[in-house]
Amino acid sequence: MDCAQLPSLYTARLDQELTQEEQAAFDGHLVACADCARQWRLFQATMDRLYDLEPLPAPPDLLPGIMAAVERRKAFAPTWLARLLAWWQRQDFSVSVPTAAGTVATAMLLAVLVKNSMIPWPLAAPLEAPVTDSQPRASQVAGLVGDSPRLPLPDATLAATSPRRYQAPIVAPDFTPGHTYDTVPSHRSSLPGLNMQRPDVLVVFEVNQGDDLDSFLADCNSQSSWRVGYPGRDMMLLELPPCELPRLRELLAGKSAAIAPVAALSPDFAQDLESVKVAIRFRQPE
Amino acid sequence: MPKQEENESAELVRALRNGDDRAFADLVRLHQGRIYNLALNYVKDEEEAKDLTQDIFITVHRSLASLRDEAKFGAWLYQLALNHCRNRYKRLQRRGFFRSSSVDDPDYPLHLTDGESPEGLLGRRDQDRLVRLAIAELAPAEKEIILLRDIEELSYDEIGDILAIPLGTVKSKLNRARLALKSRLEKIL
Repeated sequence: MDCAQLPSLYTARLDQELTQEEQAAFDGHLVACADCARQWRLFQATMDRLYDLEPLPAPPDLLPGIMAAVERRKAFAPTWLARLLAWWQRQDFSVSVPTAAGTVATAMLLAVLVKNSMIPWPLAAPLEAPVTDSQPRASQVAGLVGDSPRLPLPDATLAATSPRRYQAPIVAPDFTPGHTYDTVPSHRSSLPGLNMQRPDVLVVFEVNQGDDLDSFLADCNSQSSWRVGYPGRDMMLLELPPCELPRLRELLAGKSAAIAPVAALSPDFAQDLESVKVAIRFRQPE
Repeated sequence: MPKQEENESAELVRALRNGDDRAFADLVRLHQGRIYNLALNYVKDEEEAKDLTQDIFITVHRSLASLRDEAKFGAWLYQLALNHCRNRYKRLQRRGFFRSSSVDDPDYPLHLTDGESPEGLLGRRDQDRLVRLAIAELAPAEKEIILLRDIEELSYDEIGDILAIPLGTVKSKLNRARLALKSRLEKIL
């Protein structure tokens, strides 16, 4: 038995719950080790002090006070409102300074994150929008000026790009379901104001071999009233005046692209807005 | 709790349930001393302990219907009292109530410097006060087990029931709590 082991056995030794061998080892160690013997004596003295502690008499006015409180309670059987008030008064709403500081800091951090749209708020609409016969068909949505083949889009994914309720068309029969479009930018633009989680217009651009993508990008960058951002390799963000939308459609003409919502094709679209936010997603052919 | 007191409590609870209002006063009279001392050793302030004891017995009167077995009144009373003590202690602690006095605090009136013996300087009552102060400064779990075993002299089984922990845990926690108290009291031993 060593010095470190001894204190863990103090209570068992006091209660005489050690085996004969353990007790012999315990007592033997005390004889051999003066420091452990001193510590054991201190422990015994502590216990003696505890056992000798004289209980204090209850204050003489304690019993009358309790009985008076009980009588008061019986005399005024509390209504539900009084019970609620009593419960409220019993609650302890005080918090420690670190807790209060932590709560305030967390609230401020959340407010900043929400304000900067790092946390979408309100949350995006559910991906699966109900499809009804009265809704327009895919070919009506996926239409731009030009004769290029149109790519029908699973517009349920487009619906997730905006809290607005876009009409979800029935997917064309020749379209293979299962494609997913990451319509919400997953990276942040370095340009302030272009961190759009909910663009007004979404364009999905199917990049074909014949498309001169560089020229399209250069054209976009050369528009003096457009703001351009690239949050990711496959995503481009534009912010432009509503009157510039026809110019965008011109640039997209002849390309295999789809635009949503359908109303974005109308000359009156977003005329009441100061600027239109457009997300263009480039999709490589499979 | 002694068997005789346990039986007497059970009788009083039965009488109270049968409409004998005087039984409650007898019940308070029987237990007020131990509950007051428990509260005092927990929060180390006489006024707070008195207020706490009053709250505890008012709750006993209000909640007696929830006690299923009269024979277990003692354990039920201790559980209820410890819950009240814990809540009050936390509230007082948050308000900085315990910040000013400690056995090791040089400003404490009964502070002893190294080498001084308490016998010559302190009377029995002052020494008791220091021991109570040292108990009150223990962590709540350590304090509770010391109070139940070494002050209230409850059995290990009773403590296990009250604190809802196994027998082996009661013993190991008690040993740790006693060691913690010893280290706090070394100066006055």
